[in-house]
Amino acid sequence: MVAQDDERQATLERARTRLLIGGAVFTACFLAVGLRLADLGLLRQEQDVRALQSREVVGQIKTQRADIVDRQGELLATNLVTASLFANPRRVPDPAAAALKLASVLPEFSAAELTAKLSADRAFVWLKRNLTPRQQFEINRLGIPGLDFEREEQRVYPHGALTAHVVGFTGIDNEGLVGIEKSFDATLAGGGEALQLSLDLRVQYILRKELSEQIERFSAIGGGGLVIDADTGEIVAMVSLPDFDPNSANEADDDARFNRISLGVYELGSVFKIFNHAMALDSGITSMKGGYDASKPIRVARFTINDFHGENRWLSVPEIFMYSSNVGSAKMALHAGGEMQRDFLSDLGFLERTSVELPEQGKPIYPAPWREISTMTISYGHGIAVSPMHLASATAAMVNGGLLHSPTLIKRSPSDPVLGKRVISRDTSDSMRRLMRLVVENENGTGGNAAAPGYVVGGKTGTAEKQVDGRYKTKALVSSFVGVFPSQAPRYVVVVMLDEPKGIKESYGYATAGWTAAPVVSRVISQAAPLLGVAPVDEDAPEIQRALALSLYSRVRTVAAN
Amino acid sequence: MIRPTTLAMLLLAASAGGLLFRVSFEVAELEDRLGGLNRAIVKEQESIHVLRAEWSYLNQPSQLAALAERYLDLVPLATEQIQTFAALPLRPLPETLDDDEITADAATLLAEVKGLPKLKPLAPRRHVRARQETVSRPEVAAIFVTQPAPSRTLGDVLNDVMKPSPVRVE
Repeated sequence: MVAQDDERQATLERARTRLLIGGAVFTACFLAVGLRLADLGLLRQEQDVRALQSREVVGQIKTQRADIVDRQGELLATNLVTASLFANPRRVPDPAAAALKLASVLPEFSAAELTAKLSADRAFVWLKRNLTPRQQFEINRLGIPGLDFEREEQRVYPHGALTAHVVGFTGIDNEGLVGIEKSFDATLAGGGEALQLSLDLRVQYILRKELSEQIERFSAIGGGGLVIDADTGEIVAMVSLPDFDPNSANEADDDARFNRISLGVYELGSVFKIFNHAMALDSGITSMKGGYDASKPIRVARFTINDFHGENRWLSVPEIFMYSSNVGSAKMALHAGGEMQRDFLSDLGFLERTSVELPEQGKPIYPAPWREISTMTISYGHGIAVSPMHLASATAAMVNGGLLHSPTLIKRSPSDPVLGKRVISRDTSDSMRRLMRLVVENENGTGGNAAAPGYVVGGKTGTAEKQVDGRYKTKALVSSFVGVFPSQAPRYVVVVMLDEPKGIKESYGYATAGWTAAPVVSRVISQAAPLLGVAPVDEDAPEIQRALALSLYSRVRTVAAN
Repeated sequence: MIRPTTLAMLLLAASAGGLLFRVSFEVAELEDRLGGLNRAIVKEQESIHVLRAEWSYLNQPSQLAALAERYLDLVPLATEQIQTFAALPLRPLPETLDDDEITADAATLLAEVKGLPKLKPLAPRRHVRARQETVSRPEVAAIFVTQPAPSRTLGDVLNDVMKPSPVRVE
């Protein structure tokens, strides 16, 4: 009995211990849950709110390729979502009937063509990429089994041909092929923020309009124009004509796709006298008071160097520039020597491709070895072929105080430091401004047609005969004008180039730069200057006259020196 | 036999469960709504994107020039039409007093001065930038426009804009 009692006692004892352990475990569990609840509910509120906010926040939709915009933010290139039509021919029950129905929606295909595609023994065949929304709707309505759409993105250029040569275009799979699209392919392909160019669409339009009108007027085969910020190298407008619509770039011919501004290299003629004069003045071999005998043509071997506007006398340095004397320039260059000329042109970047952000870059053509005859012809822009882009960036350095900036198509942020390479002194640059103003202002200057009242235009004409098969063609000219405004403190450089203009009655048969390219510069400046924030001034105001005054130091009394 | 504590515990457990269910359903519903809103936002953004491209297309300068020529009485801006503040003549003063009147006695003079129209300070003027290429045909240097004082303050406008608008979910 006692043993039984003992046993019972022990069993109860054991049961109680088990209960106690079980209870303790449960209590611990509930306690943990309770504590966690209190922690979440009472203590962690702030973090929770933050966690919620960071969750599923909708950002800007991301396209596969970033947009390209102009300096005002105007859209130049963007990706739009489109649908592309494909078929699984094995699932199309009646290819002939389906093809007939499809052909009614897609008129560019014949029923026979579609039948062939739809009866192919394959599981996938593209029918048409990038449908219009209307086409997609119509095809959906046909209800043909075995057809399906794929969401795709298509590159669209809302401004079409206007910026074709700068922006370029992409291929069917949106890979950059030409222009900015190619040079920034990697950046753009990542999507993300829009790429902002330095172009100003309004100035671009003015330049293109005026240039194309002039090309038509003088029956030129093409032309190009460039507006560049003299102090930063930013390209505000850049046009090459003929151009093409990048939305259907594969239909464009090679001539339209050819970028005359950066890829084309030309012997630009007398505009090179700017650099010849700058070299001579900066090196100190002569001064504004100096001069050279231009009374007789120079004969070297079988060449004869003549003056187009022949004065046939001793000419002062400003006169050589104003009359655009080849003889005077050649003598000046000989005085300086070939080595100095080569070094100077090399410093200005004329012997290499420019560093502008375009894959289409022409390599300058220059003589090697650099003979004496080359030195003479290069002084007036023959025997060296460079792109108008080279010309614009080097001219900017001549007038902006002497600092060379690499031309760029990307908008500079105001906080970026402006780095430039000093190529000539401030004083020489000041002289160059006066000389270039003289060409436009003086009644004997060749660039009078470039004047735009109020904007104090300065510049230099250049008319060169084109070399075809190694010979110069007298009837095929490249007429160019490089202008700066306002001359007293240049802000922008404008280059206009016409390829093979033909003389007309209004220009007395002349197709030279003063008649063809200079008027374009005048019209572009008078329209674009207000947009570029350049205020017109009174050109006769004493401070402007003083800043640009220049004595001709002429030795002929009849020439009125001002 | 059910003890009151047990009863209370059961009730508590039941209500906690019920509450949990309700909250979880509510959360699911909110999630759905959020998803819907997000989809709607993406859709709107896509339309905005397309509209931006269309806007840019419609703003082709050549197209605008053609339209302006057809429908507007505008001509290209001439250089003479651009003027600076400095070139503007001063605002004419009210008629000055004659010598005779100055000799008149102080009381009449004072009365006359008080009778003069009170000059208001110049209304704020805004310089309209020559952003557009054209200006209206009348050959005046019409580049300064007086802005009427706004009847609403900036605060009012901001309040209107910030006011939450009902959102519809499809």
